[in-house]
Parts: sequence; C-alpha cells; structure tokens
Amino acid sequence: MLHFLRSINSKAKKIESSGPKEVPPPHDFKGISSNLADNEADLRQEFANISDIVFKQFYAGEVKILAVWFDGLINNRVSQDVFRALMLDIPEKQLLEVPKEERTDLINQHILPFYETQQVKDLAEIKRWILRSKMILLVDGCSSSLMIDAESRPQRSISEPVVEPTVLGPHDGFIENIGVNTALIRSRLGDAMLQSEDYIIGRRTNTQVTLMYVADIANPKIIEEVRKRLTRIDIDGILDSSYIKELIQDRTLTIFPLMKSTERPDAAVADLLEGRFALVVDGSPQVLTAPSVFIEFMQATDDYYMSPTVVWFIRALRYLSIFVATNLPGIYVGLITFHQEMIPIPLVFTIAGTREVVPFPAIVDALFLLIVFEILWESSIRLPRVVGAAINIVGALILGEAAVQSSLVSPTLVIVIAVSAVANFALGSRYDLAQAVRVIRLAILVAGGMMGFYGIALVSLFFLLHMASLRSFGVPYFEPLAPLITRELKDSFYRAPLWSFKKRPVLIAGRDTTRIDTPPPSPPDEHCTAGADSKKRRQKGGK
Amino acid sequence: MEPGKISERQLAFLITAMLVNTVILLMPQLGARAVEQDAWLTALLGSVWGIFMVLVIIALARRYPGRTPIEYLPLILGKPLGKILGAIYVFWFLSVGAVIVFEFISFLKITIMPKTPLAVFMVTIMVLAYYALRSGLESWARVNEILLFVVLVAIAAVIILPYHNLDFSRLLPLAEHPPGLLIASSMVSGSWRGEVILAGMLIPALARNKHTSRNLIIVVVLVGLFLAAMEISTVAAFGGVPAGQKEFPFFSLARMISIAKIFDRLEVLIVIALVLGTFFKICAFLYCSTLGTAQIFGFKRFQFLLLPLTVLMIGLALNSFKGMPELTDFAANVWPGYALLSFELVIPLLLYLIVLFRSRQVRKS
Repeated sequence: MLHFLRSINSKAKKIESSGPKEVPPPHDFKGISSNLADNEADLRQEFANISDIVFKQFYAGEVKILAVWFDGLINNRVSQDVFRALMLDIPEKQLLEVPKEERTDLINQHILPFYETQQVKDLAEIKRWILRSKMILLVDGCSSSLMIDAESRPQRSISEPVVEPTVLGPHDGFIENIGVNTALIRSRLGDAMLQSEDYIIGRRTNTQVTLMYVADIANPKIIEEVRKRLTRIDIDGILDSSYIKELIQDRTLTIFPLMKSTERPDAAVADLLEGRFALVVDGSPQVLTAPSVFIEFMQATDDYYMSPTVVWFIRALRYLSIFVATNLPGIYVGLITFHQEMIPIPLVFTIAGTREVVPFPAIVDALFLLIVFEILWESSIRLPRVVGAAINIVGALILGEAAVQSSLVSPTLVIVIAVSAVANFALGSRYDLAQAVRVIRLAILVAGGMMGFYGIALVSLFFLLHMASLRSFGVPYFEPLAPLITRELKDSFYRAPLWSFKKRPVLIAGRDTTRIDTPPPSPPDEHCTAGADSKKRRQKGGK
Repeated sequence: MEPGKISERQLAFLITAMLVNTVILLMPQLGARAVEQDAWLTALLGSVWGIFMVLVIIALARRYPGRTPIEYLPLILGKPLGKILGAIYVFWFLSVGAVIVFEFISFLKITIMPKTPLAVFMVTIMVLAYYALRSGLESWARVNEILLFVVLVAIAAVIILPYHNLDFSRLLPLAEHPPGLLIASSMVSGSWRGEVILAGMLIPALARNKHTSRNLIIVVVLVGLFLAAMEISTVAAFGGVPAGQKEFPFFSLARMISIAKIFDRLEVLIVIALVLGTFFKICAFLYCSTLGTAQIFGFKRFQFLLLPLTVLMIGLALNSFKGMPELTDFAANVWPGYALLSFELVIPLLLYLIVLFRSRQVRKS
C-alpha cells in the first residue's frame, strides 16, 4: 500500500519543458466532465474545509463559467481583466456559436489577452495548479479547463544580498521567488545553451526546483547525476534550498560545505560559466551551485572586480585568516603548556606576567573564553536586532572587561581569542565555511591543550584527510591542489589576470573548454601613446 | 581490490615521503660513524642501489601488469612456495612499519615531550593511520601531495639555516676511505633507499603507468642529493667523529637555527613538520601489509583487516626494541641484511632471473 502510494504522487516529478506548460499525465488520470455542476462538486469536495479558496461563478454571455483560485495568490489586476473580458466585453452569443467542446479554445485564443495559459483536462492536475497559485476557469459544457498564470505571491523586492555583501560589482540579490531568481540568472546569461529543467519536489509543499546549466559547457555526466539524485528525493516538504542540498550532496556527515549556496546572481552565473550547474529552489534566496571545491569557498565575488595584483594580497590575507581562525587558540595553549622554550624571551615575561594571577591552566581558560564567545555569537544571531546591541555591550564590554579584572582569564588569552574570532569573520561571506572553522578551532584547541603541537598536527591531518576523501558530485574536494592541476592554481592562492584564464576547470567543465581568448595587453600603438604629441596629431588631421 | 586510483605524481610524492622521512633521523650519524667526513658520499652511492632496485621491481611489474608482488609471487614460484614467501614479505612490511613507528615516536618523545609515554603517541598516530586507510588510498595520497612540500621545506631549513655554524673545511680530506669501505657503508643508506620497492604494491593502483620507472629513478636520485646535503650540513656543523656520536644530529642541527635572534628554538616546528611526513610513511607500510594479507588469502576486500593489523603494528612497535640505542644498533648492523640483501634486492633479483630464464625456455620450446 505504502509503495503504491509513493509511486503515485510522492516522487519528485520532472516537468519536461520549463515554465508551467506540459505536465505528463500522472497515473491516476481522471478527466473532468462537461457538466459544470459536477466539476464544481468534485473540486469543492477536493478542497473541502479550505476557507481561503474562492469559487466564483459568472456568466459569459449565456454560458456559465466557474473560476477557482486561492485568495491572495492571484494578481488582482489580471483577475479583473479576466472578468471584464468574459463578463462585459464578450458579445452575447459568441460562446454559443461554437461547439461546446471548443469553448475553452475560443476563450483562450480570442478573448483572454494573456500569454501564460494552458488547457487542462485532468482533475488531479487542476487541483495541483490551483495549489500552485494559478487560476482555473471551468466552462460549462466543455470537458477541458483553462489555467491562467496570474500568480502574484507576496514577496519582497530585490535587495542587497544579506550574507554576501560586496563593495564592488552588482548589488542585486536573489529573493524568495523562483521566477524572479531564474530571471536574474537568465538576464545575465543570454545564451540559448543555458538550459533549465523544472522539478516538483515535496509531497505536500509541491515546491518548484529549477536545474540550470549551460548545456555545452557543463559535463553531461554530472548533469545526469544531478537529475538522478533529484528524482530520488522523496520528502514531504522543501522549505529552503538547504533541504535539497542536504538530500543530494555526496556526503552529509561532514562539517564542510559540498555545495555552494549563493545569493548573488553574478556568482551563480560565474559558476554556470565554469561548467557547474545551479539549482534554484522556490522560496529560497540561496541558489545552490555545484560541483564545489574547497578553494572556491576562499574566493569572493569581489576578487574578480578588483585589480589582480591587489587580490594577491587579499587572498593571502584570507588564507592567513583561516589559519589564524582555526589554529591560533590551539597554538597559544600549546605554546604555554608544552613548548614554552619556543616563545621569544621578552614575550615570555609579558605572558607570564599576565598569567601569574590566573588560577586555571591555559586550556581551561581558553575553553571557557572560546565557549563564551561562541554563545555570544549564537545569541547575537537569534536575538531581535533591538536587543542585539545590549548583548554586544554585555558580551564585549562587561564580560571581557570583568573577566580580565577578576583575573579569571589572562588578557593575552582575550587577545588571542578575539583575533581568532575576527579572523573567522573575515571568511564571513562564506558563511558555511565559517561554521566549519568554528568546529575545527575547538578541536585544535582541545588537541593543543592535551598534546601540544603534536596533537595539533594530528588533528590537522585528520581534517585534511577527511577533506581529501570528500567529493562534490564526483569532483575531488581538493582539486586543483590535489590532484594537482598546475594550470588551475592561478585562481587559488592568488588570482592571475583575467586574460590568463584560458581554459575552464578541467574536472568540471565538459565540452566547450575555452573560457577566454583575449590576448594579453600589449603596448599601445604608436599613435595613441603619451609620445603622440600635438604635432603628430595635427598632421593626421586634427584628431 | 583497491578501489581508488592514484596518479603517477602522487606515487612519486608518496615514495619521496617514504625515502626522506625517518631516514634523516638515523642516517647522518650512521654514515658519519662508518666513514666520518665522507658520509655524504655514501648517501649518494646509496642511490645506485636504489636505482638498481627500481629497475628490478619495475621490470617485474611489467611482466605482471595490474598485480602486486604478493599476487605474482605464486605465479613465479608455484602456489605453496609463493604464498609462503608472500607471507614473509607481508611480515617484513609489518615489521619495518613497526620499526619506523618506534623510531619516530622515540624521536618525538626524546626531543619534544619526554614525559609522555610512548604508547600515547603510538596509539594516536596509528588510530589516525587507521582512519586514513579507511578513507582510502586516494585521500591520503592527496594529502601527502599537499603536505610533502611543507616537510621538504622544513628539512631544507634544517640543512640551510644553521649556515653560520657550518665549517666546510671539516669535510676534508675528501674520499679518504678506500672505495671498498665506501661501497660497503653505502649499503646502509642504500637499504633505506630500497624502501622504494613498496612501489611494487602501489603500481597496480596507478591510473596511468607510463613514466613510473623514470619518476622513481628521479625520486631516488633527488632524495640521494637531498640526504647528501643533509650529511654535508651535519658533518660541517659538528665534524665527522662527533656527528657519529650524536643521538639525533638532525635535531641538534635544528636547534642551531636562530632567525634574527628572536625566533630560536624552532626545532619543535621542524619535528612537527616531520610528523606530517612520517605519518604517510607509516600509512604506506600499514597499507602494504594489509593489502598483502588480503591478497595472500584471496579476500575481495581488505578494509576489515585494517583494525587487527593496526593493533598488531602497535604491538610490534611497542615490544620490538628496548630503546633507541638498540634500534641504532639494529639499523647499523642488522638492517642492511634484513632489507637490502634479502627483501629489497636479492629476492626480487632472483625472482626476475627465474622469470627471465623461464621465458627463454618457453621461447626455445
């Protein structure tokens, strides 16, 4: 029984072409009758006990028509236009003049000035369209109905990305509406090869998920794998793209992000152009792109909007940040506890002076302070903005100040933890990686406190081994560092000038591998150099 | 049997990690003990042995493509004899692995954390090795690919940075010892270079096997140069005879590093960098013994053998030696016979001769 149910309507259904067009008839096809009263009774039974559904009966000339939609999900202007066209503008006898079965055709082709319409004959499908906030017109005497896409869901307007703000580059971000999101991508990537496939996932939420990829760049095997994984999903509801991410990524028991979620259309398009695919999920402002590799999470969109030489410095800073964020507390505690001889002598006196009054071993202190910091971080996210300021004052000023003054923790340790925390925020635009860093930092701190640098080395090895065993849709997570692909290192620890990105990533892209074929900048022609003085210009005729 | 595939570069890097790590701990003083200031010559001569072994093991691998030595031994010697010799080989992998674990862990304990019991270090590093092997040859070969650079830079720092203490006149007189003695003492360094025969177990896991012999010879020669530089630095810093008396000249050399008079005592960092390299050497030996055991018995998978063999290696490592002096003695006197003259060179060479002889007979008939 369960298996039977599942086969009917649970698996994610792939819609063949994009947009609300053809849906393959499901197994329980049940045509509607030509009697409007029967149909109405059927639909009312289907939607029994729903108060916010509207059944509006009216006459177009002398033919009875029933419109069904959910209150608030239909654009008012469109629905008014529909009613005006059918109730007022239509000649009295026009609908009676054609055969009964062709009435919806007539309405569709001659009367309603809308483009997003579709004839539907299946009752289950009608039900599904209504649930997906479309309007359905049932015409008396006709065994087909008309779906009108006049959807207007409550939504916020396009705004600056919240998680990934940038200084340079475009400032629009994805929102919770899939139509807008795909349009943001499509408007940036005007290529017929940018293909999209729609999936309906979620037994109950019926959420639309759009898979986008550039057909001749993406690797067909990877796309096939995504299709397979998407159709495998069987879940009652999809509330955010992270549900999809967790259900299709290669491995879930890991702290590292295996798919990139971005709310920047330009980042999504850049990924599409590298041969990755994008998954746009209705109701989520985070678009997923994959296959993702580790170094991607160390890149920011701005990196490509600034001079490459500046970016060398910024990238180096970012890698330093991740090292400091993960290792500094562990190294400090390891130094204090096991390897004091390594500390330069003047510094030994400073640290010893501050630690003299502290009653606990360094590891206890550090754990205490780090956990307090993590709690502060967590609470500052969950609290309403108004109260957030208060937390900042209590956390930063009162706690920090008092902890040092009461000599529960040493001031040096406060600096160490603070620097590590600030370095963690330097990775802020990659929020999921920043979360992983928090876990690693705690592990390294404990290891450093228990076994010194040896412990730190082992824990680092553990995380490296774990990362090296990860794959994102078959692509090794450490690509291009290991397996080493020298050509692609130009966008890892530094960024080479754009003209040198001649090829797309070899393990990700499929057929069309040429990315840029611009020659490197050469010295300008003679006539426009600084030496082109006024005399020469005059000779050439003024310009 | 091995599901993952590694690249030729990864194999070369793995072998480099094996030939460099832990060798730098004992080789400098053993070389200096035998031939004083000419120790660096023995390090170079050791490469000749190494090249010879690469050629033999590659020639055998060519004859039996896609098979490890454990798999082709029964094909050469017949089933009973081949299986027995295979088992002996597996024990050799396991015991050498245990020696390496003991050697490195003792070094760690003596130099940076004298109060921690040996077992703590051993169990932690072996648990990690177990985890690495669980996650597959591919993943630890990849991490080694990234970290080898760090290890080599750390060792190079030990060679170069104590430059203000180096007195190269201590290397004179050059080649004072008779060639016979030089060649005999190069067998110690050669037997370490001979660990390259583990490549035989890893070659079937290669995705492409085209330049393997070239790569391995380059690795052996470069490692020889690197270790010769190590010897030169050691002897130039301490003099030939005192270098031979030190327990770990490498560590003493590392202690001489002082950067701008602020950062000194950096030897801990160097030792930790060695952890990152030695770990992969241990992994390689544990891997070969596990894979070999599975192949002797014809198991389809080897993962379930990992845990017992890890435990066995810890046990062997804990109980083989009483302390560092015994290990040094073993390395100087027993090791060349246990490695070079048997498992690394003589047995593979005999096997190859049998194969050659047999194929000639087949051609005649």
